[in-house]
Amino acid sequence: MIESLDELERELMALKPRPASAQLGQRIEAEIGAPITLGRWYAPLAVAASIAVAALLLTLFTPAPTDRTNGTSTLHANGSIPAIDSTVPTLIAYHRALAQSEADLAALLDAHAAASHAQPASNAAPSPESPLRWRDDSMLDQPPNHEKPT
Amino acid sequence: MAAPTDSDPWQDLFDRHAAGLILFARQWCRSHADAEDAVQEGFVRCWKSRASAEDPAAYLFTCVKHAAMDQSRGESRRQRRAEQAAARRNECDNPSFFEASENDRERTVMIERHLAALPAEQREVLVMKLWGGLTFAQIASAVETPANTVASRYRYGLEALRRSLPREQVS
Repeated sequence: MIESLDELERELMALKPRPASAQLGQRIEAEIGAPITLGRWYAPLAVAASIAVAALLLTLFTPAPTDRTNGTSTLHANGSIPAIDSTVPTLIAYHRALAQSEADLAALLDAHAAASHAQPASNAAPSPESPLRWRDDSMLDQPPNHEKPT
Repeated sequence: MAAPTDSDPWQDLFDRHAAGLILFARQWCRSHADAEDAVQEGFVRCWKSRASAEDPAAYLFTCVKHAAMDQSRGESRRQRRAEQAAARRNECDNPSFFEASENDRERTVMIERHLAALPAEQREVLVMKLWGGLTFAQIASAVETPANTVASRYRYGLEALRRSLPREQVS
């Protein structure tokens, strides 16, 4: 019985399945080749493009900063443009980082975030003319007195 | 079987298994062309997610099986055009799963018909083992069934073929 099974196995294994057409290989190659490349690069490219567009729109449509105390522009009196804040990355810097690697882009985003957090803190100090005061300025001039009244 | 890597391109895997995969897909597809479509779909699925595969060959057969079954289900819903059905019917009447010379054609067609009459779970094991070149362990992985069960199905399938095929022609 085993011998007959072996004979049958041999006969079956001798049969050759119909081969694949040449077009099948080409179709698979077309599908594997292009989409995988696209898939690898699509997501980072989409993120990079979105950031670039957002940065561009922000640059174009953000109004010139004004002085809150008197509502005037921060343009200098003689009409010159104030110095660019070097702590904030520029659009060109983003382009360069994108061209280099994702790690560079991430580092630049971190730097931008850090600069953005640092800037409001420096601006938060109330000006002498500001009506908003967190506490009496006189308290700032004198060291706190923790001594118990006698 | 070596795992495909970037240095082992998809062509190697394709060349090794293409014919066996098409025969395997024919269990669910009604024509050679439909089977090729299923193999294409399954192969691409497999290749894109091959990193998660423990055994590439077994995973490839699993992907092709799913693609062929999906196609079969979609086909039954869509009810393709009559002329396509007629063409396929003609091919189903003359399956030609295998290449055969004029001398062997009658015997080959008979084997194809008896093979097609086997229970699906036995037939798929026979196809993967005999023409896909998979081991029982790989087949077990592909069909998610214990290897002992797979071996039993193989044995039962062979015995059924031996019983159904004219004995005098098994030589």
